[in-house]
Amino acid sequence: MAAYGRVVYQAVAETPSDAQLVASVAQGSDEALRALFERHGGSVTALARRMLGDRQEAEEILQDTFLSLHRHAAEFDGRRATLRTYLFAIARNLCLSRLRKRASRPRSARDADPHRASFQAAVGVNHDPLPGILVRGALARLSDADRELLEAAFYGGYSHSELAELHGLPLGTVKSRLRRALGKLRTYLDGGPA
Amino acid sequence: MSIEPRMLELLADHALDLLEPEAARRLEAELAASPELRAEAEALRGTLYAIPAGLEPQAPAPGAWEALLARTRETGTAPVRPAPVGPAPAAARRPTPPRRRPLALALALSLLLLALSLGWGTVQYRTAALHLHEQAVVAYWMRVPGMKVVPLQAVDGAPGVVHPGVVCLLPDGRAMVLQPHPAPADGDYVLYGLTGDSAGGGERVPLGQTRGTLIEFHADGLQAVELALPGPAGGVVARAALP
Repeated sequence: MAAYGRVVYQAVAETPSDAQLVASVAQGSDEALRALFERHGGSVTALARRMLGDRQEAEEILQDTFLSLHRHAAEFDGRRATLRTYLFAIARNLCLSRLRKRASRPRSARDADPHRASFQAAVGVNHDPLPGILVRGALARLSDADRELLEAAFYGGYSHSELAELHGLPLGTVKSRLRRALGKLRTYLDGGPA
Repeated sequence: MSIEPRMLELLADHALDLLEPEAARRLEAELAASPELRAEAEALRGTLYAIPAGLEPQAPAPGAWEALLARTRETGTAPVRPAPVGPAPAAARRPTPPRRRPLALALALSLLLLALSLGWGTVQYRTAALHLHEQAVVAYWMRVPGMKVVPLQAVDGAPGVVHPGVVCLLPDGRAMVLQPHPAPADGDYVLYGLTGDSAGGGERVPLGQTRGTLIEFHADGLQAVELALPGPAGGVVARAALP
């Protein structure tokens, strides 16, 4: 019984990893692509919806992101980044391209905030919710001002000067706060002290 | 070699896509030449792109997978990696001399394999059941409005804990401690509740234990929680003050 913790580790390790599934996608496996779609599709949709504030556009971003993964699976290098980072980077870039074509960003982050209770979450069997809980915990440890600035930079894709104007802050303050917020977030995600 | 503060600032700006194009090109040239800088840049980028993991997943529209599959068929198959070509490893090519196995030995081995298979199958079933149960519990909690997340703080020098984890609190007083990894092989996570601060002389009460990753409890009347591991190198590994 004492070894049960180790057994859990073993079982988790035997679930195909992202890297293994991507390798199978590169070999042409639809099943592997589907497994990754089920594992990460909900998070990619949430990111796109948060950035664009539009369900239909978020669905298009989801499709384009996984189509890109399908085309470039052989180039994915799991030593450089996790698949989640890779997918989020593709989706974010696609969203930023759309945002730049628009005259404005979504008027309010709240309008597109999937954290709101009115949004129906869909957590599949393949989705591991622990990273989300840990990230929420780490973000909650940032000051409100730092978190808002970091999220505006990430989700809105605003430049330094745009952020300075939006938040009524000097340019240098925006830069230093963003760096500080990113550094703290890294420390918190690593389990470091406040 | 430590990275200079100015370079750390540049790397953060690079991760945030906030460098001017010329500055970005210069930095990328430096990254290409330095594995240490590259590793730091990738770590910062990983931190930044962890942010959307905090969003609640949104179910893709019905038929989304089928639509994607159709598009992959339209655009052709994924690049196929050629199978490794070349001589088989020497060990694989070496002819194995035929060996005679006494019937009794073969029978004993078969029985041993059968026993191991049955045992392993049972363990796998229980492990998968625990994992799925925990995922279902967390998924439920994430849907409850008003959930608060309080980070556990690692106790200095605490062994065996990669990340101290979090305490999740619901408005009705229900709570759970969530760890990113199951307890180490030599024992369970044990959770204690403190009913007062150290100066106030409160009680320390056991709240539960697990071999998995989460412990549910009720937070009413508790000032703090402590997470402990058993064994001589164990003891309290993390704690959190409750709001």
